[in-house]
Amino acid sequence: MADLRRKKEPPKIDIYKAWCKGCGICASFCPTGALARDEAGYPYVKEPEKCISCGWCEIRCPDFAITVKHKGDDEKARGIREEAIQ
Amino acid sequence: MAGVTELIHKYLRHDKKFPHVWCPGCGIGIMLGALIRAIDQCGFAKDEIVLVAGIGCTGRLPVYVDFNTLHTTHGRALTFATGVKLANPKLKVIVVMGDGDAVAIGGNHFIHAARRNIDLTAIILNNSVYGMTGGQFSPTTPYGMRTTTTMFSNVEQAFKISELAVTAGAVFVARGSVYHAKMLDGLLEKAFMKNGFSVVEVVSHCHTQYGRLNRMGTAVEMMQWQKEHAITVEKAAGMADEELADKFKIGVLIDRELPVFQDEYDKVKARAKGISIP
Ligand SMILES: Cc1ncc(C[n+]2csc(CCOP(=O)(O)OP(=O)(O)O)c2C)c(N)n1
Ligand code: SF4
Ligand SMILES: [Mg+2]
Repeated sequence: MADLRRKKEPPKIDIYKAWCKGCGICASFCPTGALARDEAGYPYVKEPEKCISCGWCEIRCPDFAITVKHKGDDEKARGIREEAIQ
Repeated sequence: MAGVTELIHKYLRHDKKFPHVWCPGCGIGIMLGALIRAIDQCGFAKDEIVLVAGIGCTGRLPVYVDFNTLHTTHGRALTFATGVKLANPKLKVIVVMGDGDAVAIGGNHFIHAARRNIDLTAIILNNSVYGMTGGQFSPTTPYGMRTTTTMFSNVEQAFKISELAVTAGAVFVARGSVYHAKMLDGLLEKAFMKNGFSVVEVVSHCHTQYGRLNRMGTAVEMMQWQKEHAITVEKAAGMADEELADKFKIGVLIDRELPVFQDEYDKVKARAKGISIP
């Protein structure tokens, strides 16, 4: 039961603002558009429910300033994840 | 993906000033992530690793990580690393260099370390330019490109670092890019596990110097360029030279066995002592 509920919960994305330089890599390459940039160019989580926790952003953040905690999982997410993480 | 950044933080020297010194979006930070993940994945203890670097933006990398680290002089990282390895062969010695560091001022050390086949891993971040000192051209700046010392376009041909390493005798040579960061983890792991001189060339971007003068855009656009111009070794095998003209190959370029300096040197010691060896 608990598992079913967790599946609907979007992944948890944390941006460590003190280290983020606003380079734009995470938001520009996010394959689902979960991340976006504010007027100053800094990333924020615009649509958390779109995140498939592929980890693209986390692996390539040059400043180690973003974490994605894997919560949900489904076929589609796995597919995109495989393609995204090359 | 939980835990990727947490793992990195475990290896950083938190008493250093963060965020680090590199420009927003610089690929050196991405390479640092891959380096840490690969070391962790291989199961080395922090104290087993010696990270040796020269000077440059790339050369600054060891400052931030909690291994044994040596920040040496420009172009000479491989010589310090050679000394460390021969003095204590049990250590895993990893050398991090920029393209200028490795194949301009340090070019001779590079080919001879490869020829000797000394058990080191050389990681070379190739951003086609001297980033730190103001964007001067390097031996890896492609023909026709602008830098602060080739304002009317570079008239020289560029070294291909990986191909140079293959010819010079390195037993393992791979090329990756910071865009293909996940693949880079794997290439670095393979290099670390190889006995002998291994080289991983990491294609990266210096948008601040090189990118700006060549109108290549932001870090994001330069990573997009990497995505579009990288071809895996496997795919490239079936492609014509013309198709590959503006592409760069990523993957393992060579993985072979040759006598390793340290093993051979042990035999020399045995011979000198009159001990017969098989
Ligand atoms: C003996 C010596 N010569 C020249 C320099 C100046 N210098 C510092 S870094 C550098 C080049 C850096 O280019 P690269 O190795 O490609 O590293 P990047 O900054 O691009 O990462 C030069 C020429 C120096 N520090 N020492
Ligand atoms: S000058 Fe270039 S290589 Fe150096 S930190 Fe900036 S982007 Fe990176
Ligand atoms: Mg350089």
